[in-house]
Amino acid sequence: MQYDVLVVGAGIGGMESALSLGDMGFRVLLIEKEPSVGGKMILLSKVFPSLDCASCISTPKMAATQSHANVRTSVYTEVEHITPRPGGGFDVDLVHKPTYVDFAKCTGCSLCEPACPVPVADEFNADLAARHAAHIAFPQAVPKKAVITRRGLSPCSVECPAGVKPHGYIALVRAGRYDEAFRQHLDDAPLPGVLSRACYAPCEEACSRADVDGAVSIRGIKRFMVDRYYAAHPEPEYGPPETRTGKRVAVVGSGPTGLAAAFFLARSGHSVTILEAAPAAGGIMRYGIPAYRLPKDVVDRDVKNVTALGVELRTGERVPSIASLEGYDAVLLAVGSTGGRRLGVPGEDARGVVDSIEFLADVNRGAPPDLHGRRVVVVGGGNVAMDSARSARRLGAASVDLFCLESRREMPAHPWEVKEAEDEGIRVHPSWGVGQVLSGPAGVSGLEFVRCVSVFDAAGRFQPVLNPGEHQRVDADAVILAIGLKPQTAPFAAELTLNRNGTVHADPVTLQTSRPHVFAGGDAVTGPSMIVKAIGQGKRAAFYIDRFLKGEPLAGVAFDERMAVSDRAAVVERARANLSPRPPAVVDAVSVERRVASFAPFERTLTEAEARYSAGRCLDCGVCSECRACVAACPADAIDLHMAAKTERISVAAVALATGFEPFDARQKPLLGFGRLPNVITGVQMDRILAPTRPYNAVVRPSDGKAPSNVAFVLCAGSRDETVNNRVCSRVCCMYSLKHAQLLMGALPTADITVYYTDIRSYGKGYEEFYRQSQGMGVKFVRGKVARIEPAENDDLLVHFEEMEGTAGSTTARHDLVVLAVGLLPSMIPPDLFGGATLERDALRYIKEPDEEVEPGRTSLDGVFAIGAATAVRDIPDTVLHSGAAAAQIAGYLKRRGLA
Amino acid sequence: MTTGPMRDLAEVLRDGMTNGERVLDVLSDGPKTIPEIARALHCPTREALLWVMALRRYGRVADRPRSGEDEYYRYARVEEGR
Repeated sequence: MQYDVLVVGAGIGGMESALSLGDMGFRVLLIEKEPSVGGKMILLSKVFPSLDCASCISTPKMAATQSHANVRTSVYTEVEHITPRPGGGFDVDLVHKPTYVDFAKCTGCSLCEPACPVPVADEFNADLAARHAAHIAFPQAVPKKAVITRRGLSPCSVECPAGVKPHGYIALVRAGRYDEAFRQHLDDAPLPGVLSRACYAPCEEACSRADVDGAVSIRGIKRFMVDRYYAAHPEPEYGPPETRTGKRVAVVGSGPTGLAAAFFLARSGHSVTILEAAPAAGGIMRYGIPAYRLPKDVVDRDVKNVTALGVELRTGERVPSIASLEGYDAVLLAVGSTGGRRLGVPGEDARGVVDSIEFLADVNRGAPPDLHGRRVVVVGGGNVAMDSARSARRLGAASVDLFCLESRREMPAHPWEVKEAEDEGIRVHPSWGVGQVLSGPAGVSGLEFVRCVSVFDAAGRFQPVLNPGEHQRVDADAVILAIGLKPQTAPFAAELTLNRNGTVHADPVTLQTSRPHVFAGGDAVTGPSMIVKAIGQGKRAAFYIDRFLKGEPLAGVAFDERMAVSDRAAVVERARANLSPRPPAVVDAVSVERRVASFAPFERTLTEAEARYSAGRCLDCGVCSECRACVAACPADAIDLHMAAKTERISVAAVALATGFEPFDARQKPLLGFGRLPNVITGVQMDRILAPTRPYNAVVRPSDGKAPSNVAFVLCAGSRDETVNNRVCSRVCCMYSLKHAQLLMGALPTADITVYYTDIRSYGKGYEEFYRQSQGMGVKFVRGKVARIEPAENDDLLVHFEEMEGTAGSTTARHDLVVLAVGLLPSMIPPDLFGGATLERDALRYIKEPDEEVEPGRTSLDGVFAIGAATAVRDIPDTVLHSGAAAAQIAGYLKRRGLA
Repeated sequence: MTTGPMRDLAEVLRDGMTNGERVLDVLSDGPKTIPEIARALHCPTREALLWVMALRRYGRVADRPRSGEDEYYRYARVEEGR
């Protein structure tokens, strides 16, 4: 795209110049980094000295930037580079920041904002109030469109293999919106009950708060949300989708992969049949995990989430071959890993040696072996071994010893699970391999173990090295082997390509096998894994099967693209500096004796108070939680959380910088109390409090909502002050403080107003009269320098100052609100913005105008102009005047050079 | 309770998501000032003000007119559907 002029910054100066140039017939691109044009002027209450409404003056110009035939306006846009072209003009690289809202669809209805559960300090109200992550910048915003504040994806959401967004449901639980939280989870993964009990919770490992005072109890919050929802909703709230595709899909296996895939395929309108060899659905969730960790009624209810969509579930039906699945348009093999591996040592076939999966299945079926009073040895160091050992303990074993090849550090079981097992009396013996199984006429009698020196070779491959010189015999009446699982894929070996370990060979992205209509996922492809990963595989399979059934290409199409993770280190640093300590909620522990007495779950569900306390510990790392409440609330379907930043290169003949000013940060004057004393506010905040679109209902104090009755203004706060490296007079502070004083006297007729000043600078047209008018209205002027402000009772303030007139000397006065008339500072432009060319600055760091008396706006770079407060401290009339002058300079430049 | 030490603004605002309903509960028996609400919630007045104003922004709380003698405005719960 080509433009005559790029105007950077759409405050009053930028708008004025852009519209003037547009009126002259030049094609102008006006960009603004914020989501609305208007700059700082639109946020003011009134303007001095006329006390005209700032909005009334600004909004017609703001609207004109949208409708002018020669002006294109782009908000939420920043300049990345400006490169001068030989012969004149510039190439400009722009970044259009993602708003996550399609502006073409957004009607500005604001319904997304109250729906959003993530509060953020409202920068347009100078941090005096809250807004939400989804928001419209301010009521008069132009364009009046919503944007969503995002700082990457929260670490918890990035880490979930199933694509669940924990930050989303946590934010909803925090707001007490439990059913919405559940539904949001269900949209991401259909087995929330199982995940709330048996997930290893990688989200908690990623939680930023873990580095502060303990991770948020994400799984505990989920369990609260799920238990509450399931208690109220024994049946799902929905039925099959109305739109059907007419396509049939067979899913072989009803474990986490199969159920997840069936859920998402059915939601897409396909007819899905699950074929399960076992008598009930659930796979490893039903038969592999003991009930004390995962009650089977929870599995049953989770399965209903799938079958409610019209998925046909055929149990007790073993699939002998792919060929037997005639009539289906696609097949998903999700047969899991349910075959136990053998040791390959002498004696392992002795009676009393059982495979862990068979053992756990028998336990879960309610037909466990009689282990009462028996000495049980479990071989293996993974989670299945732990489940087996702890189940044996609950079956009354006299002793349970667990031996594994790995050292304690290498054990694949989660450390917390090893600890819980040991708490229950299970003796863990790391670094031992089985030499042989010993047996007698009654069956197994013990094992011989050999010391394991190392498990993995230098390349990380499983290659155990044993030391035969160190061994021991252990008596045992029963042995449970939990040394690994293998997929039950043998029936399909003739039809599909299998890997050497028995897993199905499938494309790692699309999960498509060697036969195009057959897909495979979960443990059948990855080998033994975790439930949450298997669910992720099911989602992935469903995504690509759906494309396959629609005849859409699979290659090159990404699944579950996630935005970059938020800056965890920055979140932690901020939290450590500012947060009140809040340790994780402690759930009362059930005694070990009670735990091992039955297979009843021993982990208590969080109470509502505990769940909300826990959710309240979330730091909102990525700001937007991706709860998608805004998506549900938006009647225009305008929310697009997948939106990405876009770059654009344009050519322009001239550049005009209207980057405005920044207010002085009053925290740099700590003795004045800003940021420490709530009733010390800045002039910018006072303007917001006085504005019609103010953060409060009226003029009240931030500390307690009291209407102030004794207000002080402290002039020259951060200007004319060498100690903060800003020696320049900001020119506007005297007058805006008088404006505040007059407006306050209107709002609070009985209030006392005091202005502490060193001298009043009322240099403009009508300014001196405005000053006199303020005096006449009763504003008290005290010539004195304020040294410090201290707290007094009832949130009042003691202002210590050096009085320069009258009695003179050090004095203290009490006020109930103090306004610091902060000065203005130049907005900083990146030094490398123009590549190798340097844009000169003056001694006060404003953009230098080498010949400002005769060529206002011209800078040290040919073709680059600066407007308004980018060049000097200016009030609004000065800025408007300078903008017009600069526009004329730009027009002359373009005509002279023949560039337009 | 007055303000006490100023807690991190982001933390206070997050707490508002949990405490908004508590504010509404406190207002269920009639309009109240910020100090009265803060006393009921055992929280600093500054935080109560932030939470009340957040509820007000989204139409769940409305302010009542203040007479000249009153130091404080009173805030009332807006019933849903009104």
